[in-house]
Amino acid sequence: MGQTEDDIKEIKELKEYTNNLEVINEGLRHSFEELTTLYRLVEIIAEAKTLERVLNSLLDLVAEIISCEGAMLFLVDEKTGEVDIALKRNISRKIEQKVNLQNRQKVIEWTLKKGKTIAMPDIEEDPSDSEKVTFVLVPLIAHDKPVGLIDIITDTPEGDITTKDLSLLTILAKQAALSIENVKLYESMKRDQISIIRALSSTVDAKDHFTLGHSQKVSEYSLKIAENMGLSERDIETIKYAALLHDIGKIAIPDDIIKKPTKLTAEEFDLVHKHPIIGSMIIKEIESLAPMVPIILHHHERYDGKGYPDGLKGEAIPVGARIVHVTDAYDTMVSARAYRDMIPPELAVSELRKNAGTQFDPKVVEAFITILRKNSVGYDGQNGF
Amino acid sequence: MDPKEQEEAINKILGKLKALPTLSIVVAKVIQVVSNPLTSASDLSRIITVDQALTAKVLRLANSAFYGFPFRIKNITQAVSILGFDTIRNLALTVSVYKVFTGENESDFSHQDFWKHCVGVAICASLLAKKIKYRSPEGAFTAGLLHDIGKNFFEQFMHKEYRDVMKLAKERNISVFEAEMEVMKIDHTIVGKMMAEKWNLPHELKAGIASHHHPEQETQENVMAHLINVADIICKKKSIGFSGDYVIMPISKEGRELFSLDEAGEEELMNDLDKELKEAEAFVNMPQ
Repeated sequence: MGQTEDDIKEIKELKEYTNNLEVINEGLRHSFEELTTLYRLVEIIAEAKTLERVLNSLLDLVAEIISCEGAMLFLVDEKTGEVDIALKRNISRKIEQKVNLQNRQKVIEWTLKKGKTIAMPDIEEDPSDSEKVTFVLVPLIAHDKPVGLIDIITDTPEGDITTKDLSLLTILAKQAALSIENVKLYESMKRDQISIIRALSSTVDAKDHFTLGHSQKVSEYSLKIAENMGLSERDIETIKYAALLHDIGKIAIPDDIIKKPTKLTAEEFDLVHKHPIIGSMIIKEIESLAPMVPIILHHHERYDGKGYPDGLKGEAIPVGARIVHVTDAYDTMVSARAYRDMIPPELAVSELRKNAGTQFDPKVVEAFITILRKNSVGYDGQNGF
Repeated sequence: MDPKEQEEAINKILGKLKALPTLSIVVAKVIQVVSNPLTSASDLSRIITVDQALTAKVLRLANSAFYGFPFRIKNITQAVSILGFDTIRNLALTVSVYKVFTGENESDFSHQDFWKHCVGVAICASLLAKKIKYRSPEGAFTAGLLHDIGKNFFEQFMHKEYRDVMKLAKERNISVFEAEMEVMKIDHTIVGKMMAEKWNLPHELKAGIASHHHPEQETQENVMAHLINVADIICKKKSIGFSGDYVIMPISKEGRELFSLDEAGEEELMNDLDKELKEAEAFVNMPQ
């Protein structure tokens, strides 16, 4: 009998032990799922490349953590320190009114100052208002500095929100804040880069009043052609800016040669023909502009190999350079120059057509003519888009 | 020192410690519930509101200038949702611990000044904690408030002897810590540690209480021990309140390194401390 009693006791203990293990296992599975979700969310945020995408995916992802009727995203203005709304999602007028209650701004300021994720009850005192919502405010903080804030409108009463919900939101917000900072930094570098390109480009055009706006035109035409030819987004951008800089090498050529109204001597011609090489050498110094160097270097190569500086032929010439070669020639023809009057657009187009296959890439010429027709520009003498 | 004499003295204190009231069952539940991530604000509120006096005190602190929330926080659920689970747990804990020590007021070091010292250490420790991104600035704050509970014990339950300690420290210009050893044969950090054990306080708080004079002895929660150690010294240097000590120890090399406290860092910390201390009136007045 004693034996059996012991057995029963042992079985009981074993059962309890297994039960405990199951509880622990359940807990572990839960944590693992949470970690997996979080990892996935954080990755999505980290990979977003533009501010708009970061903000949009942040609002998408928040809904995976907490039931979310709508959401608003505020960003802190770096210069003024003011908090402004940047994005809204499913915000009804009524909610908007609740948000705009006078003290609301103070709560947002408090949350940013404390860096705390909080759940705010609906403070609407109107007893007839049956649709009570909760506002979950999650500050976005990067490098100890407030970047913005997410305001989540949820039908979960503030009392039902758990520590887990709040900490998941906080971690997601942390990653989002870092991404926002990165994207902003990237975008401001990009803006600086474009300003540098524009400044450089206008220094060349300014050397000769006949060429004012020439680089800008060549850039606009080239962009359209690149788009029409179905090039990649990155190539299109490179061509757009390389076209702006194509003549940058002319900085090194004396003004009296550039402005000379009569025929150039052989020596002067040699000098002018060096401008693609000089230009590529200047731009090579700016690391981030490196992809533009081949276009600048080869924009005077001819399709039949009789151009300069390297005498490249056909497809060996970078596509951007083939495009700029056509648009440069066209804009030069339809504009007045020191040594001749302007040529009417119709005549310039037939000139392009006549030299397609020899001087010009026929595919580029064809794309260009399609565009000129579609925009009926070039034919009205304005040659603008 | 005669070991027998020492044993007797310690036994006497142990007897008194045993007789110390337990913390309310409410607080024990609060500590347990907050450690579960699936606890909601309502869950926590249901537990706290059982004790009306505690509820009122927690709400008073939650609405104090120290937290400075722009709206009136009406109930515990809101207090938890807005100030956070950890803050409310720590407020409940602090209120309960200090409930044990209210009543007697005749003493050599005035309660008000002693309290001010504890609040100063709490704020300073949480500032340091934020500076080094310590996992729980809230915990540092609470440990700061409670770090000298051993002194409260002496003051309340061994009032006469503790007067001698204070006198001795002043006359011989030695630290309170040393004077305690001489008169009571035991010091306030050991008593504090025993209290923390009796009340089942979270380990990080116990570390701040037990090792704030010898942070190097704490292995598990070493950072917390250093936090309270440095905060304590800074408040003494700056004469924030009065802890009974006339002797001020220098900040240890480890402490300076851990919190990157060069001269400029120390000054910045002291300025921040001044600012926050002005808003912490409610904590200084809490025991009343």
